[in-house]
Amino acid sequence: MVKILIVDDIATNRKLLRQTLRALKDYDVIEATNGLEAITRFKENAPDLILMDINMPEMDGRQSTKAIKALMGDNYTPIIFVTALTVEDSLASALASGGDDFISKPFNVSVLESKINAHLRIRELTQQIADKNQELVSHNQRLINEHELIEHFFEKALQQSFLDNKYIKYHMSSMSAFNGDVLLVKRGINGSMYMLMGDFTGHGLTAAMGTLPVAMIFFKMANKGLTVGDIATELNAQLRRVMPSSIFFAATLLELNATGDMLTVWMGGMPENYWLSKGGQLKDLIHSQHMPLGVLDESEFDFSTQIINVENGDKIYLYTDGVIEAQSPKGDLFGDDRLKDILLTQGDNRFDQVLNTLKQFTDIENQDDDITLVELTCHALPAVADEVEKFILPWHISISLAVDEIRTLNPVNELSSLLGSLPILTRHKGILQVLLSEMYFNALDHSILDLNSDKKTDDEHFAEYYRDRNEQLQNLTQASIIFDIQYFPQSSQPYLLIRIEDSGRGYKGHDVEQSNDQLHGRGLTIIYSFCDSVKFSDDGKALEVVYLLD
Amino acid sequence: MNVETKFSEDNQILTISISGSFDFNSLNIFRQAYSDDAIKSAKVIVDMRNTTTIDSSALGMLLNMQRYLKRADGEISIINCNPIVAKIFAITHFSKKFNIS
Repeated sequence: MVKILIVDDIATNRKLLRQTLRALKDYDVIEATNGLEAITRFKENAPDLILMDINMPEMDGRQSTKAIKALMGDNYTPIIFVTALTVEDSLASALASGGDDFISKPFNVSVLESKINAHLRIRELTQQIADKNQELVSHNQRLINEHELIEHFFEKALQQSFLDNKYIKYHMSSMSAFNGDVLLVKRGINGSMYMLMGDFTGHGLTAAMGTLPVAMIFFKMANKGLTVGDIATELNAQLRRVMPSSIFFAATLLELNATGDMLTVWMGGMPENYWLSKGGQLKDLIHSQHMPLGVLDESEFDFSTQIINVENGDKIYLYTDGVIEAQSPKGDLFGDDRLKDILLTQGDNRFDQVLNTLKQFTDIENQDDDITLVELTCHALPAVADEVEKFILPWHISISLAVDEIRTLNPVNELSSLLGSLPILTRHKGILQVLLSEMYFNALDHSILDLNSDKKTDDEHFAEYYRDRNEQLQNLTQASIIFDIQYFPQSSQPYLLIRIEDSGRGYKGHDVEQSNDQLHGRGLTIIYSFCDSVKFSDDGKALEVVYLLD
Repeated sequence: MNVETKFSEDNQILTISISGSFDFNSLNIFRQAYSDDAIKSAKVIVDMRNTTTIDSSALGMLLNMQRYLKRADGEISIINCNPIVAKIFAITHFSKKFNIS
C-alpha cells in the first residue's frame, strides 16, 4: 500500500488533506506536526511520498526537506510542498532546498491527484533503475572476484617458470587484465633450458584461456627433457582438441643445451628473431618455418626444427607482433625497421632502448595488443636444481673386463647407465655414453684386435671390416680392458678422470684430422671435443681423459 | 636399438627411424633398412626422434649409406636430433654431408 506522509502544524489542514487523500485512494496516511517530527517519521516509516507545509514551528519545511533529501540517498522519495505562499522568491527557495514540486492552497483535488500519481511513477521508475544498478554492481563485483580467482589460478599455473635474468631479460605487457602472450621457461632434467614464447590470436580472457593447457604441457615435457619437435607436436594436438578453431597460437619453442652452445628452434607464425654476436653484430635472422600451433591436423603437422650453433655471449631477441604493430597516436606503425635499427645500433643497451622507444612512440593508455620482448643470452647453464645435493666425497670405480666379457658383452651401455644413475652425472649421461663408447672401441678395435680402419672405404669393405672384427673377437683367447673412473669433487670445478687401459699392442690416435668423406676416424675428434684433456700413455695402451662437470 | 622403415604412400619418401643408441651393434640392422631396391629413387629421411646417442661407428654407417645410395651432399635429411646427437654431428661437420635438423 502506498504510504503518504503529511507534514503540517495545523490540525485542520492535516485533517482536510487526509480526508481528500482517503477519498482518492486507499492510501496509508501518516502525519507529522513539524519539520523535525517529519524527519523522525521519514526514518521510521519510510513513506513513498511527502506532502510538506512550508512555514512551521520547530523546523520549517525547507530545512526539513534538505535533511530528508540528504537521508534518502539514491532512494527517491518525492516531496511536494503544499503552500499558500505566492511570493515567487520564497517558493523558489523552497524548491531549491530539494523539494520536487508544489501545490498551492487552496488546492484543486484533481491537480493534487495527478501530481501525486506523476511523482509516484517517477519514484517507481527510479526504484527500478536503482534495482538494476544494484544488480549491475553485484554482477560486476562477482566478475571482479572471479577475475581475481582466475588471475591467481594463472599465476599458480605459470609460476614454475625459470626466469633467471642472467640468461633472460623480458618485458610483457598486456592490453587487458589477461595476457594472450605467453613466456614460459623451464629447465629439463637433461640440463637444457626450454623456452616457449607465443601469442594467442585475440587478447583478454579468451586468448589467455589457451595459456593454461599450453603451460601444463610445456612444463611437463620440458622437465622430462623431451625434444622441441615432440613438445610442439603435443601442443599442436592439444590445442586442436580443446580450443575453438578460430583460436590458434603463434609460437617460438626453443631449447638451449646445457653447455649453452646449441639452440634447437621450432617456430610457427612468429616474426623473425634476431641473432646477434656478443659484440652486437647481426649473425642471422631466425625465421618461422611453420604455421602457428593449433591450426594443422596431427597428420599434417610438421615438427622439424632448426639447429643453431651459438657461441658464448650470443644474444637472441624474440618478440611478439605487438611490438612491430604498435601504433603511435597518429596511426603510424612501430615497424620492423625501427626495431632493427635499435637492435643493431644501441650496443648492450638495446633491450631497454627498444622498450623506451616503444613507450615514447605509443600512447600507453591505448595499447592495441599484448606486447612481449625477450633477450636470451647464450651461456653454459648452471646445474639443474635437482642436482644441487653435491657429492663432496671423491670416489673411484674400477671395472676389469676379462676376455669372456670382452667377447660377449658390450659394457658401454651398462657402465653409462650406472654412472648416469648418480645425480651429479644424470645430465652428462648421454655424453659419457658417447665418450665411453669411443674409448672402449678404440681400445678394442685398434689395440687388442688387429683392425685397420683404412679398410672402411666403401660399403662392401665396410661390412667386411665388421665381419673381420667379429671373427677376430670370437677367436680372442687373451685380453683385458680396465676402466678406471675417478670423481674429483672440487667445488670450483668438479671433474671426472676416465682412464682405459688394455692388454693389446697399443694405439695412438695418429691423425685426428680427417676428410669429411672418410668412413672412420671420427672417434678421437669426438673425444677431444668433449674432454678438457686427452692423454695417451704406455705406448697407446692407456688413454686418460678429463671430463669437466659443469 | 631398433630400426623401423616406412615408405610414404606414393613410395617417394623412405623414413628410417632409429630408436635407442645408434652404435656399432646397429650395423646389420641398419644396412638392411636401406638395402631394398625400392629405395634407389626415393628421398631418404633418417628420423632420430627416439635416438638417445650415436657414436663414431654410427657416423661411419650414415656416410656408408650415403655412398651406397649414391646421394649428393645434403640430399639425405636427418631430423629430430636431440642436443647430444646434434652436437656430435656439429663436431664432426656432418652438416656438410647431410641436411640436419
